[in-house]
Amino acid sequence: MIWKPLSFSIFCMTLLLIIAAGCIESHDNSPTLEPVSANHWQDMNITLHTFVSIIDHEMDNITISVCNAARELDGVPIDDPSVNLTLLKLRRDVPFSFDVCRVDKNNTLVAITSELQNQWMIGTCQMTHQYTEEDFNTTNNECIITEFCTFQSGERGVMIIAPVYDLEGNFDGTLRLQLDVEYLFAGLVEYLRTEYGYTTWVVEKNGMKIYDEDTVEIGMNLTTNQLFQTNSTMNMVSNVLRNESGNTSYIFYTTGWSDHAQINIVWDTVYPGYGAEWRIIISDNVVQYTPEDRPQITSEELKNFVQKAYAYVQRVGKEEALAEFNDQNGDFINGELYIFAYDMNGTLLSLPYQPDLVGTNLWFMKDRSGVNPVQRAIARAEQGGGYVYYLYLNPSMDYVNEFKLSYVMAVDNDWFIGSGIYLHEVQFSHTYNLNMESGSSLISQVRNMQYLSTVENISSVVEMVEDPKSAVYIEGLYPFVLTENGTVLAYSRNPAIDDTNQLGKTNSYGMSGVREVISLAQAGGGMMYSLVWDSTTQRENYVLIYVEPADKSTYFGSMLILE
Amino acid sequence: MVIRYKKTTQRQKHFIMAIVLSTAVIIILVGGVSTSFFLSSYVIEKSLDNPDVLLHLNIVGDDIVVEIYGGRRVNELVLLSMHIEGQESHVVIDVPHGARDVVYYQAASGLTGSRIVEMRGIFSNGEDKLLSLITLKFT
Repeated sequence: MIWKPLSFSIFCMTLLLIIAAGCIESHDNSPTLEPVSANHWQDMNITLHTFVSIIDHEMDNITISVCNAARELDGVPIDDPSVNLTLLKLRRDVPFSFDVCRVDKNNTLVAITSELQNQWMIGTCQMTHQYTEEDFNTTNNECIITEFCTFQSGERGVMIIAPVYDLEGNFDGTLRLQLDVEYLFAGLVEYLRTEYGYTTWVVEKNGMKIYDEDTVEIGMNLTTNQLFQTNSTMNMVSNVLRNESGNTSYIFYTTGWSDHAQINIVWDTVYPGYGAEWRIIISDNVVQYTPEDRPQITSEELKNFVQKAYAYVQRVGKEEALAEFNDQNGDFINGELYIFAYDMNGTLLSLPYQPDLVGTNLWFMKDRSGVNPVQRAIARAEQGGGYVYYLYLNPSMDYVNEFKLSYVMAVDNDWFIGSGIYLHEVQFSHTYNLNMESGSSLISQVRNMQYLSTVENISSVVEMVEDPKSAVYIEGLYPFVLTENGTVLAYSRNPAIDDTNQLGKTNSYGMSGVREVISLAQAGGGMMYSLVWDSTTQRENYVLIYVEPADKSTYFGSMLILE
Repeated sequence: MVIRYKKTTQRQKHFIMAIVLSTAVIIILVGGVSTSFFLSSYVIEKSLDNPDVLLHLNIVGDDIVVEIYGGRRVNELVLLSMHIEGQESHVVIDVPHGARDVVYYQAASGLTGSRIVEMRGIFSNGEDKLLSLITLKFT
């Protein structure tokens, strides 16, 4: 008797199990790993070895420069004017540096190259970490290189530190250089992509990513960040951090974070200085630009689109407007046109194709040329609004980096909106390759002007700007000197405008390049794009400009023509 | 049981009254001042949230371009008056009917730094009203 109900129960349970198994969906839709040909690994490895030797060479040059500068400071009293000159010279010689400073043996800052902005720190500021003579006893005369960190200015990079000694040979503090590793690798990445069709990312042995073409990933720790916690990526990370070199494949997001794909990597290790161990990874996760006919949205259409968004904000209010702007299916998406919004401190409020970034602060985000797109947009918004240029990922072209013209409008004193178009028809938009050398030369030239103005004076540098035999001259670069009220003291490309006020001069987009240069210089300097009239060619040219303050009311800059 | 109490003198009564009155006056004054602050900011905010005329200002070279985006009373707007912080006078220009923007030529000439720019509208009924108060960064 008992067997009948028991067998019936077993039958029902079995039936339920079968039904349940059929209902269970597989959540793993990721592609599976495919084998990689030996030829592909070989090709990647050849590229890797070339790339690694370039980085090794570059870092060697940088650390040698720092050590040599430290030797120049040996025995020099900290209040001697030559200290400042040595710091300026080092900063000129290492264009990938932010600041250079001298710290005494009591860990007090005594001199810094960005003195204009940081005068209050000199003699009072205690550095975060104190380096003693003992720290250098085991370095075998190498510079110490710190882990990737955020500096007081908010910029990120690594610090290169060398000891300084007094006349008796006793330890007398340190010389410290803040290195912009992002800019160092960004210039190389362009070369890597155009010459070899690969990209790179760099990670410290502790898992901290110190460079990636997707700048969002810089500063992430691969061992702890949620993005890298799948089995595939965890295996990859473990492999990379455990082994100095190797190759592997893994599944991860494609550029733009829209899909998953197999990514193949090879890696090797560089030891740029004591304490530093960088894994240099070459990856084939690259989207190549393929030319196609695309209609070019006009600058007027762009402006109208943003003005429409501005009126919408005023009608519905900030919260509702931002929700609409962030909606990929909303009314403010039109092909490559979409509305972005930031507050005036650089916090992202709206970006429909990268919603995970909303709420993050992107003030220090850089494009490949070293231009800060968000800072440039804010500077323009603070003028009320207008056009601004930078390089950015194009979501409608598989997130290829393209030259972008944006139009921004301040909504009020606290936030602004904007949109942009990618300049397909601009000749250099896809052939443009600001290689490391030309970008570095631009920075070095301006910093040399700063150095020379300290050795001699600003007037001497003004005369040098237009002298092709002077120490300032570099072929293909056009230095200039400007005052805070917009008067051009010297301009090598067009000396005819010397001693004239160009503050109100605009280009065909209504952009006042001089106002923007002054704003950038007053903020401490940096890179910017512009479109300027060239009296030699009688047309407007796209240019890259680097500026730095000479003193509180005079600014040095130089210009590279991009097409 | 006898309830004992201390009889208050006339002087004591006057003293207590003075304290009570002083406290009441202080409360009324503080309440009045804070209410007026609240109301004035409320009025400005309300008037900009639901503007009579919606404007937007841009610096273009040496000019200041004032874009007009409509508003409840845009058809009554006849003049725009601009005052830039640090300058003595207002600059008043005509607003043609239906204009989408007006340009203050050379208004930014020689100007550097950040300044508060005030825009006032003068309407057909003679009313003069604040339309926009914004900080512009000239350099």
